Amino acid sequence: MPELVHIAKVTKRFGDVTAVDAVDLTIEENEFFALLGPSGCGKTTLLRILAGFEDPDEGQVLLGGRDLVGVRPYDRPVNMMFQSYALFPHLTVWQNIAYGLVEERLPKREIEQRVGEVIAKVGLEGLESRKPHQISGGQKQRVALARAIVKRPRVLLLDEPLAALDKKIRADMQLELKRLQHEVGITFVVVTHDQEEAMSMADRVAVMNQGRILQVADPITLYERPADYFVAQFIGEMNFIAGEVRDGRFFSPELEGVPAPDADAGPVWLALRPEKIVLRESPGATPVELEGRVETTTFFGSLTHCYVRLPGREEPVVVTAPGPRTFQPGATVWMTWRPEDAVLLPR
Amino acid sequence: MTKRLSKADRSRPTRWVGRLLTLGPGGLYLTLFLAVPLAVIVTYSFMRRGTFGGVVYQPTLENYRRAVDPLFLRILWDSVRIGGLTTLLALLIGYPAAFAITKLPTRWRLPALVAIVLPFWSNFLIRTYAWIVLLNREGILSKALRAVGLTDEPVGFLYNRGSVVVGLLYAYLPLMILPLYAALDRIDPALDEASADLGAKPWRTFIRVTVPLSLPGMTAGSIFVFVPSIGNFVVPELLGGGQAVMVGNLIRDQFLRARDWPFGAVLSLSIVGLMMILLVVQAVQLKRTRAHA
Repeated sequence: MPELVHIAKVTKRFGDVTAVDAVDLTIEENEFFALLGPSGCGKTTLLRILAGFEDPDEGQVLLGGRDLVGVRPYDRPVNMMFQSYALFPHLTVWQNIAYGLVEERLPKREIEQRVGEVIAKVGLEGLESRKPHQISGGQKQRVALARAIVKRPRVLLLDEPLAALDKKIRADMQLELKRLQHEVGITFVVVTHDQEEAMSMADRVAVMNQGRILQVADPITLYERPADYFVAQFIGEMNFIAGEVRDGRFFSPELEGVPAPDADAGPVWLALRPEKIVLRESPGATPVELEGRVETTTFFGSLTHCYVRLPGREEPVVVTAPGPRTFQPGATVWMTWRPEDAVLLPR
Repeated sequence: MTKRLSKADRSRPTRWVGRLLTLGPGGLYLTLFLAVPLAVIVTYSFMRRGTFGGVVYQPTLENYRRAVDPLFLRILWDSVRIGGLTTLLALLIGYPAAFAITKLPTRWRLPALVAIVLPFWSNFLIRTYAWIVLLNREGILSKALRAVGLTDEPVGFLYNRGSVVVGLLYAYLPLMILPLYAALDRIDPALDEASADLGAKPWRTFIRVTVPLSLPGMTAGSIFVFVPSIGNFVVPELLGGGQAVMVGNLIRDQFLRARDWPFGAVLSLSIVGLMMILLVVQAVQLKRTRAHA
């Protein structure tokens, strides 16, 4: 896919705080892109730089090859859906959606046609003459979305689009946003602190922390092959074993020499997803094996969480298994995994 | 009060005590200083004046008939025009001031607002006299004009409608700025950004978002300026000389000079009536806009 947005060495400081620190990023045409990170990581600042509400102190923001730095928000082919929705309280749903088209001085007939289309697309029929205070949160969100996509922007920016919604509506809206993105063929850049949201919606995710981008990848890669300790612990559940690589093998107090052929020598984390670990009631003939004691099990219906205590280790190892598993607390178990399922991360 | 509420109240006498303590002082104040005087004025307006002043308790509509006299209506109309002009100027001067204060860094807003109300801390009469010092034929403005050679003769700026408007404007401008500031400050800054994001240049945002959302402040400020302006009699007296008689002066004269209390009562009620109309207009507007706040 052709590249649409190119962010090069962008830095933004607020006083002593570097909110965005030398960020490089490329976003492709028609992509659903997510900026994921904890609050204060700089993701919203980066979004506001794209919208034109903040000017970067350094670096370039190119949109289709054109430098956007210094271009005012009202002159950018970029629209934003605000976290608070920022609907105009004195205008009706229809007027809110038509607002940006009126500013473009489009003919009245075209405005009516486009607003009508987008109202049908997001399912707001019948609410056209309501004021924002007369509609529900989910409907407000649709108005905010409609108001932005009716402008047919090159890029649609969404700032925590689902944060203000109830849990149940949130799941529906995730699907809906993805459907809409396909339908309208606009590049979406969504900012979120919710990793599930980012993983379930986005084609690619950039994980940010402390103003830096740690990894950009598709959700599966991000989950299976995190490139960084922060990414590994931020996304999903992960067990970490601190150790060291020597001569192509991983050593730790718990483990003696697991093969790690591709790893560079030095201190590392061995990161292991709970569902990659297999529990056995007796020792097997596998190269990797750890003996532990079951602390508790929690049954969730479709899967069971087992917390296994290892000798000389503070935190229990979490293991998930599909379906119900019955281990008595205190039972001795043997854990094993395929060496290629473990990820070694610099420590 | 609804039936359901009063039933619940009877079962809880302590609630009544609480209500009496909280609403009592205010209610007493309103009764003593608003309801009773208003009732007296309304009663007087239907009575005859005594030969040597005072009120003779003989019902009549004579006072109301006199009030529709063209002479009085012209003075009332003049007062409305002077009050209206004052209000308009206050709006034109006050809006940019209030708008600018909302754009100040947070720590400078309070000092700016204090500066706006600072004149209120000195006596109203003294402030009005100060304008005489400024504007009279041997006043500071006149001397300054002569000093820079714009005129050779002393120029007086007093004793016309203009000087009355200046005096009223000076006196009541803060009452315009404060509600405007409150209304402008309440507007979510994200709305400005949303408007810019949708393609509106700053002046378009101002017209399409800021102005409509500050309308309640504009109405409140306008009423706060207009109402005391048309009733004011000190400013027209001091700065207007005999040239500009306003309805406030007329009322004062009826009560204190002509000693025609019943007619004065009718004139007073004309202003009260005007005020009521304005307040109803404001209430309707506020109800419309409050819903989306």
